[in-house]
Amino acid sequence: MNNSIRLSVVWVFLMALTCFAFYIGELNQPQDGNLILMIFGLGIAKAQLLVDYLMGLRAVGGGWRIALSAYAILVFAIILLLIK
Amino acid sequence: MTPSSTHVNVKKSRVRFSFSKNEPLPGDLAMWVLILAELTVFAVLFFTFIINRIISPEVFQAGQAQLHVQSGLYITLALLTASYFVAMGVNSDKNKSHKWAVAWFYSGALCGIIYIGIKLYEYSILIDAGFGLTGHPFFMYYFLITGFHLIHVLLGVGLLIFMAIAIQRRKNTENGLDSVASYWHMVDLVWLVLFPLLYLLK
Repeated sequence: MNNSIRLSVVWVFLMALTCFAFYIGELNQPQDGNLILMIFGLGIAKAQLLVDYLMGLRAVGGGWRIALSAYAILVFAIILLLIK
Repeated sequence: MTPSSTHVNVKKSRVRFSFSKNEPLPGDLAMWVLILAELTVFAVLFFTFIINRIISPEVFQAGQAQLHVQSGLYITLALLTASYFVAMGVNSDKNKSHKWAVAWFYSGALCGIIYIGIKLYEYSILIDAGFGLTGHPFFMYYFLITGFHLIHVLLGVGLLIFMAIAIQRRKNTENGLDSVASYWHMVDLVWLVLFPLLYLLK
């Protein structure tokens, strides 16, 4: 796939995931663990797409990709642990 | 080997190379060290916010109810679009389409300006309602974290415009371009954590 097309597809995914997270966050119901997990999961998915494709670390691999990918996962995981 | 099969082999090896995991880190190493340092500072701010939220949940929930969640959505969409434009700009520059690279970078900067506009509008509404850096603990953290992020966006917009001008003047920008793009994506990455934390988590 052409790099421009790939970036455009990733961008559409990012926009869709953001709108979906907004929709879930605005649901008129109390946020239980599953809902919070879903919101954080969407955040992690978006961060991964950003790191891999927009930052271009997918082609680099190694420690930098792991460090940047782990950032959102670690922050959300620690927040989740603190909330629980 | 026929000439046509050689051509196919060259094409295949190029495609394979573009997916190889041994490509060098885009931009300067110093920029990546700065990015890690910035991400660590933001992580500390996030944890401080969440610990205070656990200590006084009612106060934080009351403060959060004053926020315009739709503004948060528009800001996120603007930043993601800016990141997309910047990535397209880097891609265009690597393909030697400098005019397109300039256009993409200016578009990215415009999205950053849209973010700044929405954020300042949001601030003005909150300040008019009597919230500021002092008094309400939620808004103290809100203004501190988003203000710190806003400073990064301002710097990022300035760098994007600077790089667009540098490409226009045909200066050697390859390494600087990657560094600025990586910085901008870092600003976006921070917001991807900030958006659910401030606006969506209830």
